Parts: sequence; structure tokens; C-alpha cells
Amino acid sequence: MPLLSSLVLPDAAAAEAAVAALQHIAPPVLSVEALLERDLEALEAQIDLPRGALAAFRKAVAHHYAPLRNASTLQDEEVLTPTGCAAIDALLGGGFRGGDVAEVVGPTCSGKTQLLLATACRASERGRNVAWVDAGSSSFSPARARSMKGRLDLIRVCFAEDAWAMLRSLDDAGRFLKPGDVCVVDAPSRVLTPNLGGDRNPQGHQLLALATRALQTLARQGVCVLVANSTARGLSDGMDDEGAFFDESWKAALGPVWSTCASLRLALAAPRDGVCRCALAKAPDGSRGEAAFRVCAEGVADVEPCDV
Amino acid sequence: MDAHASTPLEHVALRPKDHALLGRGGFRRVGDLVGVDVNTAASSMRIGPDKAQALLEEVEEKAKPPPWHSARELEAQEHQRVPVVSFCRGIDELLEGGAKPGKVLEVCGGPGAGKTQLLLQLCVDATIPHQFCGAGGSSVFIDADGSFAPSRCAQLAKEVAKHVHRLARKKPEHQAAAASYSEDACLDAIHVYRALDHGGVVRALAQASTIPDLKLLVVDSVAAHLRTFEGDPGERIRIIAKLALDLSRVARRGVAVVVSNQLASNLTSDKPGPALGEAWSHACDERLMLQRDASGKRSATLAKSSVRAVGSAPFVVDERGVRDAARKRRGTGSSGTAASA
Repeated sequence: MPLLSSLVLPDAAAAEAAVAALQHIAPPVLSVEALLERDLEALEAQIDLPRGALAAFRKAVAHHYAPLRNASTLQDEEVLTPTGCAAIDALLGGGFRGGDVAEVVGPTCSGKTQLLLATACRASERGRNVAWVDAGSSSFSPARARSMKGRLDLIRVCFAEDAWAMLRSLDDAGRFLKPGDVCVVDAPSRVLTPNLGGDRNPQGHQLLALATRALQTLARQGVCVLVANSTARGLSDGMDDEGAFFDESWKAALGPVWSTCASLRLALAAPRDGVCRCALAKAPDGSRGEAAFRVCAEGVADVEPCDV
Repeated sequence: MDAHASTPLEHVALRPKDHALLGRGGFRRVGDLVGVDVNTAASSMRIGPDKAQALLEEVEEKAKPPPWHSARELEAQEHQRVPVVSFCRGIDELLEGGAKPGKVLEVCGGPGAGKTQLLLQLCVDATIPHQFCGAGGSSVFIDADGSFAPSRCAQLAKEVAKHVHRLARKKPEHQAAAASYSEDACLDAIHVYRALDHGGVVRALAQASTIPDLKLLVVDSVAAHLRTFEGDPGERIRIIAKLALDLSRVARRGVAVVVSNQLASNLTSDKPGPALGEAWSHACDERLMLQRDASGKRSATLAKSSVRAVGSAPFVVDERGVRDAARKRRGTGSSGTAASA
């Protein structure tokens, strides 16, 4: 949620006056969301600004923050973040898209962390900021990022010890990430699972919903959001049967409610003879497909024909 | 204005009834509480002013997001951390130095494979002073299996102390450090908790954070109490997930965490795999499988790692502790037990 004071609007003087006035009412209006949610007339009654000034400011903020856009403008603005492996990038249509929440799911040792690290390093090479939210995983390895030729000065890591810390980190990431930047969350299931289900955990499902909302809000700002998810035993009941791609019996953790969070899902399988495999299980354009890759010192790379 | 003023109050870890009170008072975001008068807040939430004051203070304390670290800063920190060696060069090479601080290592194996011996060796090695390339701190052994044998630990400590003194003879500048290190000093730095049930393990983990200069924490074994868990499977998954999170939290503080796990038959493949199922398998950062073949030769295989490809190394357990497998003697042509990385 961007702060009002951080927006750059055409009529700077009027904007500054409005922002200052909004900060001094009780309760103060500090963020774009708060301004757009509150009743305009109630706010006007509390503020001492010339008539129509607040309405004009609100309109400018709405236009800047959530403008109605033409679909072709959206396509021009699309920012792609490739992984470095041509096969996976072809599967994704060029790379992971900014503005989407993409989920990378697979059993242990399937290459999730390596894929996410490689994507983060490729993004940082292009000068994008990367925010790595480590939710109980301790998977970020600076040594590995260095060998993958990532720019360590552009990668920021934060360690979230529980679900609420993860939510606050996502809010915080929204404050410094710009469209085209990457945010990796590894892995929400580790901090959400202890709170899900049972009689003593009424907050569990609310936390799932809050996490979904926080990730989607971040994505809506144009950030490329990548989420790692672990697996649980057994095929899911008829919903996204990722495990069925590879004849393995697993399903994504956190259940069907969580599966609506991401608009793109890449399912990884246990590697065979050093070759990792992934399949596109869900995509915004409905495409499907599979790709093979291998993990090397520089990141993820294509499988040479002689390796297969 | 604080940067995190726009954080929704639902993202702050409070009790459900506190969230309800704040909702009643019309407060949606952290910034809504900044500068608000305590009495106004108390009357809008319909509670007493001292309760309101306590709640406001709690929100202020818990509303901060976790700090961001630049990857470069983490790299520098990683270089400073000393891994805990195992005295078997093969295993240390597999682990890129030893048990790394900040990571959770799982040692998996059947009965008699050597898990407890390796864990004991690591506990003793964590106390080796800095001057001799050791971690130079204390270690914690959480004994859930009843496998801790004080006499064996003392034997290992004696061998390590002898090793340190031998090194000191070649490096006179470190004589002082070696003089203060002895078998007793080593044993003093190892703290053992006997956990009779899973609750004991959790309590021990919480207490371990109070040990000064902690470099290594060992749990032998995580499967002990959880495999016989009687309760609904959902509860077991939650407990396992919580344990994984707690271990990760301890590791974050710069402690090398090593846990041992038993083998269980795998529903999907013929070979037995680590116990505790899918939920636990994601918990460790690295996994070492210990095997003993029919002729008694032991080997350790790296099955999961975030920094290098898998490989394996032979090792032995003798009266001195865990050591490298004997090298082939010069002049003989026998293949012996060459490392099979």
C-alpha cells in the first residue's frame, strides 16, 4: 500500500497541501487505500481545504494508482523475468510476468529453491530489485547467489519467523519495490501450516486469506511475485492434479483455498538422473506443457541432448 | 510518520479478542493508533484506560516488520561463521566444511548406522577453540531417544582434547588457548536435556536459546516421540510444522542445528526413506543418509543440499569417535575403502 506522501502527482503544491491536511485529522489518512475507502463527504467535513480541492486530489490519486487502462497499454507495460533456462522460459512465454503471483510447487529436492534463486539472480542482473522473504525456510544462500552471478547489492532478504511477520514483510516490500521488481516468498506453507485446522486455531483460515490478499496486492503493483509451496501426500480430489503430471502422488500443501492465490503454477517433479522436470499446471492463458532442466553452478540451464 | 503506518492491524500478531477490540474502536491500520489519546481510544473500544494503554503499547512493539538484510551483508556474515567439523574429512567435504551455522542438517539412517555417534562427535567438536579452527562455543544435545551415554561422550572429549594439545605443540602461539582446554572444559560446554515426550523437546528448544555462545544444537531424534503420536493426523502435521519452524528459528541465530531421523518404509518406492513423511521432509536444508552395508562398511551420502550436488563418503566409528575410513597403505594395490564421491 503506497503512502500518499510518496506519490508524485501533476499538481504538486495542491497535493502537498492535501496530504498534510489528511495527516492531521483523527484518525489520519496516510495511504492510498485509506483515502479511497473513506467517505469523501465525511473527510471534507473534517478538513479545512478549498471546496473541491479534496475531490480533485482524490481523483488524481485514483487515476494514478488504479487507472482504467487499455489492454494494449497493459501489454506494452508487461515486464518479464526469465529464469535463465530457455526451455522453462519458453514454457512461461518468455518468463515470469510482473503483476502475477506465480507458484512453484514440488516435493522436496525437486529444484524449487534453485529455480527461485536463479530467477532472482537473473532479475538482479538486469538491475531490478529483489526482495526475498524467507518464511521459516533458511533457503537463501549468498554463496549460491554469488556463483549464479546475481548482484548481491540489489537483493534484500528478510527473515519472517511467523505468519504475521511474513504479512508485515510483504507490506513493507510493497513500499520499496517498483513494477518489474521481483519478490520471492519461500515458503508461506511453513509459517501457515502450524496455524491451520484444529479447534485451537481459529485464525488459521483468516491468515490464509490475509496472505493471499497481501501477495495479490503486491502483484497488482506490478511486482513479479514468486511463491514456493511444499507438498502433501495424496492426490487432491479432482482440483489441480499437479502430481498426476508425473505419475507421483502428491498435492500442493495448504489446500484448494490457497490454490486460487496464484494465477500461474509450475509443478516440479523429483529429479531423475540429475535431470529436473517441471510442468505448467495453471497459466493465465490456459496453456500447458513440460520442460526439463538441470541445476548447474550458474543457475538453471537446459538439458543437453546427450544428458537425457 | 512511521513508514509502517499503513500496515493493517490484522497483520500484527495479537490475540483474537484484542483484534476484536481494535475493530470495535474503528481502528484499521497501525497509523490510526499513532498519536491517539488513550482515553478516547479506551472509550471507543469500551475498555478501561490502563487496558487500552497496554494494548496500544503492544501494537506499537509488534507492528514493526522484520528488518531487511542486503545479500552482501549476509555473505559477509556467512564467511565469519565457522562450521562444526566432524573429524571425518570425507563427511566434512560433503557438507562443505561441516555442520553450517544457520542451516538445519538432518542425519538419517537405520538402527546402528551411526547417527548418535556422529551427533556426539559434532557436540564435542563444537567446543574446540577458535585458534584450532573450531567453533569455540557450547553445544546442546536434546536426547529424545535415551541414547546419550556420558561415558562415550567423555571418551570422545578426551580424544579431541588430545588432538588440540597435539596441534598446540606445533603452534606455540596458541599454547594459552590449549592449556585452558581439557576434557572437562569440553564436557562443561555440552548441555544435555533429556526429553521424555515431544513437549520436552519443545521446552528444551526454548531453553536452549538462553545458553551463551551456543554454536551447535542437536536433537536425537526428532522421530522418537512423533512416530508414536496418538491423535488426529492433522494435529501431527501441525506439530511437525511447528517443530520445523522452531528449529529454523534457532538456526537463524547462527547456530548449526543437526537432527537425527529414523528410516520408515516409503509408500511410493521400495527403499525406505526418512520417517515423519512429506511434512517433515521440507524442514531440513541438507540431508545426510548414513548406511552400513552387509560387511559392516559405513558410508554417508549427501541426499539434499542447496549448494552442491549429491555425493558420498565412507567413514568409521572407532574408540576415538567418528573418523575417516583408513586410507590404503602405500605400496599395496588393494582398493580398500577409497572415497567414492
